[in-house]
Amino acid sequence: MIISGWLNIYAATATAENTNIFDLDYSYGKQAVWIGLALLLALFIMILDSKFLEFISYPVYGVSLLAIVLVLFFGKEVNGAKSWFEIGSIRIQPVEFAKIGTAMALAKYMSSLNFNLDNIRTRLICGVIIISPAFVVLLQNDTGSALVFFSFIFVLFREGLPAFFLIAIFYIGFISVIALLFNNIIILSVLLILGIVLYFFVFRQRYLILHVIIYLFSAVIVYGIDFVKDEVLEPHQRKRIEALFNPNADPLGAGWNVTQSKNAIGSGGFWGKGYLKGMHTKFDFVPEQDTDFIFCTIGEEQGWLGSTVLLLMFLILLWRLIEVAESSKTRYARIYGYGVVSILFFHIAVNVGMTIGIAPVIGIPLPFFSYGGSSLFSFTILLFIALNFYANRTNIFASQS
Amino acid sequence: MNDLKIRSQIYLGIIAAVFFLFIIRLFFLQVISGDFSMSASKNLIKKIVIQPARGIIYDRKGRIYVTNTPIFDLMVVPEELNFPDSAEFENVFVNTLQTEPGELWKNIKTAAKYNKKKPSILEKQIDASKFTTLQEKLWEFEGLQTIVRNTRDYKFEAGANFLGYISEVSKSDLSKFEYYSQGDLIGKTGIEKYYEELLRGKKGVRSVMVDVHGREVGTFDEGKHDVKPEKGKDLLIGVDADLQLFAEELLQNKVGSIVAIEPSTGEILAFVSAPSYNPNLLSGGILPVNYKKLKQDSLLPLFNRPLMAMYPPGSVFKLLNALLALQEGTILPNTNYGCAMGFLRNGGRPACHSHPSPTQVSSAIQYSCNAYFASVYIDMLNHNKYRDVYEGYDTWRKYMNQFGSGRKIGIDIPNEKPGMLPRKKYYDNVYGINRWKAMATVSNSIGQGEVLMTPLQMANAVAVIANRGYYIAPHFLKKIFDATSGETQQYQHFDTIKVPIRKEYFELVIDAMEQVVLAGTARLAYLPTISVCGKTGTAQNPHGEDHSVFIAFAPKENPKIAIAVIVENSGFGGTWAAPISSLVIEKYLTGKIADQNKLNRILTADFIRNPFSAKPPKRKTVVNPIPLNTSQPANGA
Repeated sequence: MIISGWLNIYAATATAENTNIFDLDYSYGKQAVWIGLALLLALFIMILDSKFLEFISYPVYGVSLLAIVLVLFFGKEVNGAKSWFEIGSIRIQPVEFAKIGTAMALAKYMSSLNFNLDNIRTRLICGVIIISPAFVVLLQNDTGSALVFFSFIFVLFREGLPAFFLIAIFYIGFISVIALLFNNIIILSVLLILGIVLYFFVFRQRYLILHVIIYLFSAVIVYGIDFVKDEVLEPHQRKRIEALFNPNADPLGAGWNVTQSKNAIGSGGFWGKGYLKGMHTKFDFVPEQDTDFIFCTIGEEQGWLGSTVLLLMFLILLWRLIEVAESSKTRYARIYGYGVVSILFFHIAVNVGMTIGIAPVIGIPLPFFSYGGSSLFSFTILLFIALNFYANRTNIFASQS
Repeated sequence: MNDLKIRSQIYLGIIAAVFFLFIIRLFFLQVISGDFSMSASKNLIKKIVIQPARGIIYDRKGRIYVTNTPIFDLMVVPEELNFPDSAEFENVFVNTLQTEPGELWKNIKTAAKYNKKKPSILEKQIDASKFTTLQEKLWEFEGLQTIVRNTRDYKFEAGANFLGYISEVSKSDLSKFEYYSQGDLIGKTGIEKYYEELLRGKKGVRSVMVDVHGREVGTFDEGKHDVKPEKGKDLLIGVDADLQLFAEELLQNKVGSIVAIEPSTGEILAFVSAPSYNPNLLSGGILPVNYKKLKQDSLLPLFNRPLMAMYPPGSVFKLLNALLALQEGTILPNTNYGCAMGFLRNGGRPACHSHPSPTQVSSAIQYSCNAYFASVYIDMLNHNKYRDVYEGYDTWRKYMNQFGSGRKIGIDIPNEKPGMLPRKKYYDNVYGINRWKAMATVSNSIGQGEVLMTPLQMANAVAVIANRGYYIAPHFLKKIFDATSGETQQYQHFDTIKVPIRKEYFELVIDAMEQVVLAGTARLAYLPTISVCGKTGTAQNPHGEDHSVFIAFAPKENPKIAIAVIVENSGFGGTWAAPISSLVIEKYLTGKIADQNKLNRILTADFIRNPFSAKPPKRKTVVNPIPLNTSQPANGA
């Protein structure tokens, strides 16, 4: 608890300093205000009653869902995604709050008394809770944020969803990546040989039907991915995926962000160039460096050492959160805790992954670091609701006994 | 439950694994891989975009038509701006660039407000001669940069209407296309716009080391990160630059169009819109001033007439009517109709002129008999092979459509107009559903009334006749050269479109067209050495003198050129449009003009300020009414 709190404050402070370097005029000032407000908000959440928080789960979910639907009609378009409300000079991205709402609603539903994940109907309802906001966000043309919702699969896994689903998802992901990298025929031949070897030598001619099904399924994915890539995705999204596998093909176009970001991070070396000394970032080589690509700055200025320390701090935060979740006395608190872990993990993994060129460029922020009020607020709320449960665990225990 | 506890460990494991992977990846990127490391250097690295050379345009004979000439943008980085003496700084600019000193400082201030660190344009598109003078002084000041761009240089000062021009990319294009950045030049109209992606090439980027003052001290990392610019593709177009120049000269002091097509390929040989302007006027720094002037000109030089002006096709339509009626079998080659100075069945309307009567198809074409074609049209629509007159009309319309009338043919420059070929619905709206008869639309028979065609469509219709039943969509592009790979590519994206009419009917009409020139309405188009087949037209103009129309192709066998000429407000088609066509045909096929008197008559004719004209020409086309602007000095004086 203490560690995570300290980490949060540290991270928040670092945000202020980092933005300071790059956007002297505006970002820093605004972000400082955001941080101040975020701290107040954190304090406010901490004094709320846990029961009350649990009680408002569904309303929060409903309101946030309504907000992302409304933004479809009344929102302002930024970078091609219609996901912002504009009120005066302040812009709010309701999807950030939908993440919280979904985590709360999922926790509420899954902590109900006769909840049993083995039941198909229950699984379906969980699916609906997760997928409906994701679907609306997808309509807003904000693919990155929509993908975040799928990180809740980890929560379901922890609560007893058969490992089969997780493995299946990883398998689909794996095959998809392979399908983008290599020729379809080659993949299918290799899979066929692999399947035959497994069937005859490992499983000794058992599970024939299963083998065939998995093989056919893989074939569908392999061709389906190409179809999706060529027919469904927008040209800019397709370019980003192509750029991931071959950033040098078009270093001025789609691969530009990634190439420059790698250059910037690479130039940091072991020790880094020192605070405010980064030249890639200072000279605007990397686009969006104060928001989605902020990790570059850390990579360049703090070097390998700094990046590693930062990643370890995030790891400790997640580890502590898992411990907090595991030590909760109510199912609601535990499930919510896992929701928080999943969201944070997905953000960190994808954001850092894209700056170092191992994940596609998806516009999602790095928690607590990227400039932007909406994301800072939502991560603060997300985290502090979990901490509220942790702090009040004795009370709950008392009231329950 | 225990099992689920283990799952939390698995989850933590996955998270830890991902983080570990990141840390290792970072270690490779930052510590091991030297490629990305440039921590040792104390210099700064600057990224300089290199503009690619725009593709060159060659004419039919492979001569350079449009090429590039350098032009310079002066950029300022407000934060770095430093000069020893502000008076001298001011002087240099005021003297060489003729800017107001106040303007200069204002521009710098605006740039500073926009972004202190990034270069903003201080003065754009300075031509080479001014820039050399400026360059001698520039080194004294810090914080100024120059960008070299290419603007266009037109070696033949003709064809502005189809070549188009390039100018600074607009804000809306900037947000639409990722490729462009502020100040880039983009094709705005014509070929420059249509083939923008081929012509523009690909930008390069160079990373250079600069010292603290922003001065270049060397290349970075031996240029390993540099991307070379790729020159745009060179295009060879079917237009013959000499012919284009000649044709534009013929239309001097006239308003009108000439479209010449090679029928066998659909390649456009000449594409004249008159009045036109020197394309070099819309190149480089002088563009905005000249554009404004052209825009305000009451004769609309920016209006691309062959593509966008729509005229009643006049008698040209008679040829098409003859062809489709023959194909439908509603008339035979020897069908006779009488003419009594007009179409008797409709009370003498449309009226006709004096000529031998009765006529058959070929003599009717030769004398351009209105009554004959009115009969052909009415008898076709009312023919008992159709269920009713409306099915007859739809059939008629379908044929006309196949000739290219009433729709966009698909030329390779933007802004093509479809002309006008009314649907049945159009007449239903006027007269009530199914409450009109064939006679209501009789003016369609002679190309008057609601029917409108662009000069391009007329030329295309002639090409169909010259080819005896097919056309290839008219187009400019012939070949593409890739200077980087040295490849030449024949451009063949244009389909051959067949018109379902039998060849013998075409031969019949073509024979008649030959008679038109030999002994009919277009004797002024006669050439002693070349067999010209043509048809006069007179597009009625309710606002003033009629428009003179002539379509033709030559030679009769194995045609090399099909042409449509329109001279606005010049009266009867045979008088002006016909001799102009013959001159263009002669020039193209023989390279010279035998009859200098004919040429001089055309060159001196003036239909814009003609003091002898009976009616003062009101400058109006059917579609684009031009305001009666008094800026034309001699108009009626």
